[in-house]
Amino acid sequence: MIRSFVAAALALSLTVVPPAMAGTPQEAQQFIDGVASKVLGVIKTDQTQAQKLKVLEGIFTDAVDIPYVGKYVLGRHWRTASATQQKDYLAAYQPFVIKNYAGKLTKYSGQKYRLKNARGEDGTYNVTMEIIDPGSASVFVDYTLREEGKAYKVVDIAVEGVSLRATQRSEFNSIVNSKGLDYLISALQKQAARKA
Amino acid sequence: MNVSAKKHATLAAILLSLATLTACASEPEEDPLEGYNRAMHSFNTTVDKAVFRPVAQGYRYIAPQPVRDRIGNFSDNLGEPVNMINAFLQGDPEQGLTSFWRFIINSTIGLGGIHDVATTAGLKARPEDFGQTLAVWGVGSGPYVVLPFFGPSNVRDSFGMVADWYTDPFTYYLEQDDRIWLAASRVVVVRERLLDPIDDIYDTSLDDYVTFRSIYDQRRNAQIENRFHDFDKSMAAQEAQAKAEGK
Repeated sequence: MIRSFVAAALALSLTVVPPAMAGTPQEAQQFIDGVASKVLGVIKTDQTQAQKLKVLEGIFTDAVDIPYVGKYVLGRHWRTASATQQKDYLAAYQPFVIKNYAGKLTKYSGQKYRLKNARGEDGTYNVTMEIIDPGSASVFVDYTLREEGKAYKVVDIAVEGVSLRATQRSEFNSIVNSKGLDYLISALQKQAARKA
Repeated sequence: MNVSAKKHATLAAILLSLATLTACASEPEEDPLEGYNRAMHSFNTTVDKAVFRPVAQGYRYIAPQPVRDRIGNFSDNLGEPVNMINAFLQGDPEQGLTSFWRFIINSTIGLGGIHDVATTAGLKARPEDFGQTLAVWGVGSGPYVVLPFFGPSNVRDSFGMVADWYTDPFTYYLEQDDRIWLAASRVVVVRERLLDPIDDIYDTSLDDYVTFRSIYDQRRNAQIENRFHDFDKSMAAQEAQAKAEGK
């Protein structure tokens, strides 16, 4: 009797202990599903390509924590940068990323997708998307998400095992090491200002 | 006889030097051959822009998607013996047999490989090569190496490529000229598949040499781990578990 009481109390105390983060992998998956159906909704409309791109850029900016990724890809050079450099860098990074990646969403041509294998804990989650193209092999895209307050934000997209932020980190590191951070900032500005 | 002996001695010397290089394997981010690699990368870029890319574009222009799919299947099917050998060498007889049956089924029912009926039958392709086999055996990648014409590689995978040529039954089964033509046509098939991603890299990267290097490392790691191969199986297991937990 006492023993079962203790066991019950123990079980209760275990469930009452608040987890560090309230999110779940399933919620993260729902978030990705929501973003994906928004993107599909835009692509199916009769808007011009330019109008669609504008809306997609908005969706992309909302879904991705661009400043977080920006700091991540700069790595240790972020900490040694001056306050002005940090500000200029993030200001240049945002349009660079949007220009290079949001436009890719328009290339989506109505393949089906399945979300699977949601996993993770303590505020960091992964969700895998299988893009099914009849007649050729599926393409797998892994999303890494961070729980921020009550929202989820994408912090990495990896296509077939190739992580965008890891690739960009190598690239930026090499440029900063050989030519300095100011050169990188001006290169980002130039690239973003280019015509599509 | 004499020529052949000389050839073997050269081969042995290359293998030995590769083995030494691999022994002092380095971190993937380290790039001890960067000077040479960058020069070779810009040579390759020039050759690619002048020859390979235009040829791949021409192929895409002439052959519509359904035709390219058939040709791609045919080309992939001829790679199946090497996939099989390496799956077995990696201690994965299940995948080895899958490759074996893929080759048999697609070569016959699939009309010489132009139809991938094996995939429809649930036998999924998994490209394997001797570079991956060495990795499974615990051999490190060694430094990153840009090969002339072939592009991104590393010491281990360069060695693997040579080994694959010599273990491929078609190397012995076909006449030398046919074998070379076959290899060349596979290059065109692969380059056509990579037209959009590679254009993207040149378009968006601030340092395309580093981008190629990073992507190559990451992609190879995913292939070595077969990260996306058993996805449906792992999904089924996950769903079964969720059901068992009463969700």
